[in-house]
Amino acid sequence: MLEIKQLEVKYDLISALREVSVSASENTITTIVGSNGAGKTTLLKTISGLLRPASGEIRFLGNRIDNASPSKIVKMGISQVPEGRELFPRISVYDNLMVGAYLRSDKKGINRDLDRIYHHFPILKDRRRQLARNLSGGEQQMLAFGRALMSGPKMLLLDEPSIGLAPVIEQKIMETISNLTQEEDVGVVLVEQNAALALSIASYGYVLEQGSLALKGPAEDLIKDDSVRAAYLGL
Amino acid sequence: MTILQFITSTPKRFVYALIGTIIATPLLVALPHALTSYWQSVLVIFALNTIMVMGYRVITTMGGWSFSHVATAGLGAYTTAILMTLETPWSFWATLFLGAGISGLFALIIAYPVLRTRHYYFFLSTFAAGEALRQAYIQFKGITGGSFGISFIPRPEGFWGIDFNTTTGFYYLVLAIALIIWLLLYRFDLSRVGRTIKAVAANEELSESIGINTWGHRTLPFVLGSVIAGFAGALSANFNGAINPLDFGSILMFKLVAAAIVGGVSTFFGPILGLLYLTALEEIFRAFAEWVPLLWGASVIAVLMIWSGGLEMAVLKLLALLRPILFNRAKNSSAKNIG
Amino acid sequence: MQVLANIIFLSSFYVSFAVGLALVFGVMRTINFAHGEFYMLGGYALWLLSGVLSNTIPDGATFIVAMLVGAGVVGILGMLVQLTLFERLKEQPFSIFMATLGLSYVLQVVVVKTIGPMGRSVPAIFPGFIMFEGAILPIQRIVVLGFTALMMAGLWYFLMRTDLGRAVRATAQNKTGAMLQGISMGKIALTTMFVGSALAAISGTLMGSVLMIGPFMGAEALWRAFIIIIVGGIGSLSGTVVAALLFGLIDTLMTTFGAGKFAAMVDAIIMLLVLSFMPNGLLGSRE
Ligand SMILES: Nc1ncnc2c1ncn2[C@@H]1O[C@H](COP(=O)(O)OP(=O)(O)O)[C@@H](O)[C@H]1O
Ligand SMILES: [Mg+2]
Repeated sequence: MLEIKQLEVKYDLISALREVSVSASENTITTIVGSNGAGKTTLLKTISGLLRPASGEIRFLGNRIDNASPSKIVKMGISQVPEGRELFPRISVYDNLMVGAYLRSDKKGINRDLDRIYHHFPILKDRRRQLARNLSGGEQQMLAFGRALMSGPKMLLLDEPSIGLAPVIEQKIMETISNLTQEEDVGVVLVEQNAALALSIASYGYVLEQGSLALKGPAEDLIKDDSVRAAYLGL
Repeated sequence: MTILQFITSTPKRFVYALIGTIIATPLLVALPHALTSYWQSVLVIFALNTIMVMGYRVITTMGGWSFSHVATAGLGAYTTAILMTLETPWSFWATLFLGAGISGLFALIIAYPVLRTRHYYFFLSTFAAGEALRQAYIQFKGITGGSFGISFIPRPEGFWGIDFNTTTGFYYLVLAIALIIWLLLYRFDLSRVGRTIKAVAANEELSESIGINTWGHRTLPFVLGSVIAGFAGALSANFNGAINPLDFGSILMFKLVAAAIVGGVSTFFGPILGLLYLTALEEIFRAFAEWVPLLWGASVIAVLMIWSGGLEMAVLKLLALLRPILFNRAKNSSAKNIG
Repeated sequence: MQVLANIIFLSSFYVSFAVGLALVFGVMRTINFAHGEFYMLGGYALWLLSGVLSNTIPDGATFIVAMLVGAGVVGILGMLVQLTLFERLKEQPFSIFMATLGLSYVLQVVVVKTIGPMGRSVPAIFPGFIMFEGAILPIQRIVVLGFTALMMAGLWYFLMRTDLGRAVRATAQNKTGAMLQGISMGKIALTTMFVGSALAAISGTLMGSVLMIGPFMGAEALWRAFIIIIVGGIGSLSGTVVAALLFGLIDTLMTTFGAGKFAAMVDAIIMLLVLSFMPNGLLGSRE
């Protein structure tokens, strides 16, 4: 569904990504693991159209999107839960969710999706009138998920959703991600520093090191790979 | 610091500047004799504004573009105007320094709040503070003469056979003060403190972390620049013989900032070059005076949008091109010169 | 009572003048220095149309037509400023400040050259007074107050109850977050400039019906708007309203008690104190 070929992205003159090729398909979790500064966020920002690649191509459902605007990309069905969540702190939880549906005009569909999100994350329903900044870290992460789902995406990009959360909540977020993938009919690209966590729920994985792909393969193989175990799983 | 230490610690560039100034002085002294009386006035106003922009550039070295500079200069002007039109008038020299001091004091008072701000907040807060000060010139009619201002401000007594009541005589006064300020500021710019100010402007957090008093190094140029503005203001009151609140309004402020932009502020001569350019525009289009700010504005926008670096960069590039042709025998000294 | 009425009248002027500036800053982190001239053009819209339309339609209708025409024309002017200046000078606050400062002179010069430097006034559209609890309340003033309230209600409705308004607020709070929801920054910027500029023009038309209309009326009022938005907390609309009420109160009281000449100074001192002790303003959020 998402095909990235030979992607190169630069900040001014310095390449942050070189010759990166990744593919991700529907109803599965594809993970990209790598340490801090490896280029994971850069990759997701480029997919979402916040950064322009220097070369290479990105296709979604067969169409080139590497030159499309962020708004076109959301419209085509790619939605991102960004690093740091990037919520709108001083508007209500409900308003945050509705901004997620900004590009949609099907009132019925919007209300149906809102109900579904409240069903997945009942806490958001309870707190729908509160300002987003008054939520706890875990609740904010759920809101970020909910907001991304409100656009009715076919593919979700998740940038380190577990970061800064307590281990119990981390685990819960991962469960939520697998559930969403099955129930919501979306493909997921999950970017993580916590390789163990990510590989435990993903079907396929890539290892990104200093802007280039070092390894790829089915998640269960990567977990067993010695170099991955040494470098990322601390084993 | 003894005089000997001062001389030996003096940077080479300053010595060159001093020699250059000494060479240029006779030319600057002779200049008004080649001009008609109209152009002599233009020259004096240019010299006054040069003092203003030199002060303004000091402020920009700390990284902020103030919009209260001209209103602050007004304090110097009003001090002189008020005290020299009393029944027992003060001496010009006393009011000149007092006025500059009051301008500096005002800057010191507003420094704490406004220097906490950055970017827009700095423009807005200095602009608002300056306007409020200008409103005070209008409102306190009993002291300032309100919108009409103060007139019949005398000029100082001449000495050494120079009559300050003539335009040329007054020009010499302004020229002398401008040259002194220029040399002092140039030396200051090259000094340790001057360099530290720029370092703080370039990276405040880093400077703070290595123990530099960033606060002091931002306040000092703000106050110093304002003191210089006060000198310029006091002199302009004497030169014009009359002042009113409009003299210290946003048109002149715009002209100064425009000079700094069009000329650039990374070198000492940049703003002066900018001022020369704006003054030239003003005189060429004298018949369409109302439209002049429009030309200034267009020049500013042009520099901001397409030709960043301003005139100083053009001159520096030209010098870099000419240098091998002119100075190819003295390679090592020219290298130090650039450095 | 008269004092209270004066406080309300003055505060409502401060609100209507400053709110567009605060909106544009809040969303785009840009100060439009020509905001004062946009306000001035709103005043001239009333003057021009009351000349052209006199004896054709009722004066009250002219007033409303002037408000709409002024808002539309100036709103489009604001969009042009966005496209030509702001868009090209993105992320350069100082350049934008200077460029719009230049624009404000251009607009002043154009008005001086085409209409003249003299102040104009339009004959009272709603003449007469109401006596209320010993206070004299000009009907024109009350009408202006009513329209200011209506204008604020319209703005509130737009921001709080429409999808576009919600997108505008979201963008003000988090630009990256907004882009990731598919909100187009260009569209939000144009919308904001249209609304902010139109608000300036409406304010100008309203005040033009009670004050002198002149080429410098905006420039003279602008610095106080700066003080208001700084004290309120730059970008915070509720802060702007609170600060406008505060300064309406202070300035009216000072005038009433014969200390009007200290008003500018006191306002500036309040601004400096706020910057010293609460640099984000009364209701501003941290950047
Ligand atoms: N805005 C930027 N400008 C310049 N370099 C950047 C910028 N953002 C990230 N980088 C650099 O690009 C590299 C990859 O960063 P990033 O994509 O954020 O990594 P990750 O998300 O894997 O931690 C890093 O070396 C980082 O320093
Ligand atoms: Mg990252």
